[in-house]
Amino acid sequence: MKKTLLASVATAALLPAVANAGVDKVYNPNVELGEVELELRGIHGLEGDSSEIKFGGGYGVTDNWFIEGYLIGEKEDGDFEVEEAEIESKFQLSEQGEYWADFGMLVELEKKFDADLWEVKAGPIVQKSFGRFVATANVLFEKQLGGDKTESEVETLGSFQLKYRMNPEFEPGVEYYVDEHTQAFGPVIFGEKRLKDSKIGWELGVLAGLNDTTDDTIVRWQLEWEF
Amino acid sequence: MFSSLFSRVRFVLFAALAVSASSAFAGDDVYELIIKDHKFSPATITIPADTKVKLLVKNQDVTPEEFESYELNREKIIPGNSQAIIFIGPLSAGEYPFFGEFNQATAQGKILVK
Repeated sequence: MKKTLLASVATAALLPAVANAGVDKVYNPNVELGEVELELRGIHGLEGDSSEIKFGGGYGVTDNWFIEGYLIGEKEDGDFEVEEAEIESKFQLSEQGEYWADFGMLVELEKKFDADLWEVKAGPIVQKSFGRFVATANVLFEKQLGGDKTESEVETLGSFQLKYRMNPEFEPGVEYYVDEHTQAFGPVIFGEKRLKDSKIGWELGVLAGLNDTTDDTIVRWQLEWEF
Repeated sequence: MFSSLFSRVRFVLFAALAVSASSAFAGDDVYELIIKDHKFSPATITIPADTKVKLLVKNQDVTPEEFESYELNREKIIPGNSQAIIFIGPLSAGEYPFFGEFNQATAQGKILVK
């Protein structure tokens, strides 16, 4: 009993702060055959001084399957360490405009380096366009596996985005993230710039925490290079 | 546990797709667009307003091309000597340019909606 308690405390110390864990990014359902993508993104909770940085590389294996791998670093109490690795697959299930909405699916597998802890996430991506407005919803079901797991139930994470396609360099929008611990909402801007044989895209958002277990202010950003 | 969850999600998704399938395949007009020598032919396609249509894009070059249009909100790679369907609309009247990302100097076109 004592050993179990100590193990739980040790594992909790290794885990990322749950405060902003529900904030990540909103995935669209589209996949491009042969696309190579390098991505760097960060989530920063300004109140608790916590940060998460992800660096990933991905490839469009077919015209409906994109695979991407990440290394995830986290900063807590002033120390920044690479603590996790993640592999994800995104599946495009319908052509853009084919049905009343566009459908995809995301499957992620995450491994904590210093603990016997795996996380599996899977769920649908739905996107609907209304003229220049695009609404996107991601609903992921998350299950922890391994001896150091702290949750035995399947948890649900929701992320939602509404953006206005003003022009390629500047698209304003809003996002809302929710899970068991996190609730955050705020404005986000998106853009991309075409280079000679590639594209650079960016996202920047400032989200307000809506409950006591979420930081009051969360900054999220993303840079990606597609070629 | 995970396979069961995956199956349930997949079932819900495909049920949703099946429900909407009848509207997707019922009566969409098909317009053919050829890519040859890194050019689109015809360079202008006229379609009716407020109507969903299919573009059947046939790439007759040996090299791939990417059909791209910010105005149409579409990006699609068509490998060499192959074809793809791109769904467009319903759109309001106007001009919607598109281009081939890999050969922008020559591969230019537009959808004219009337």
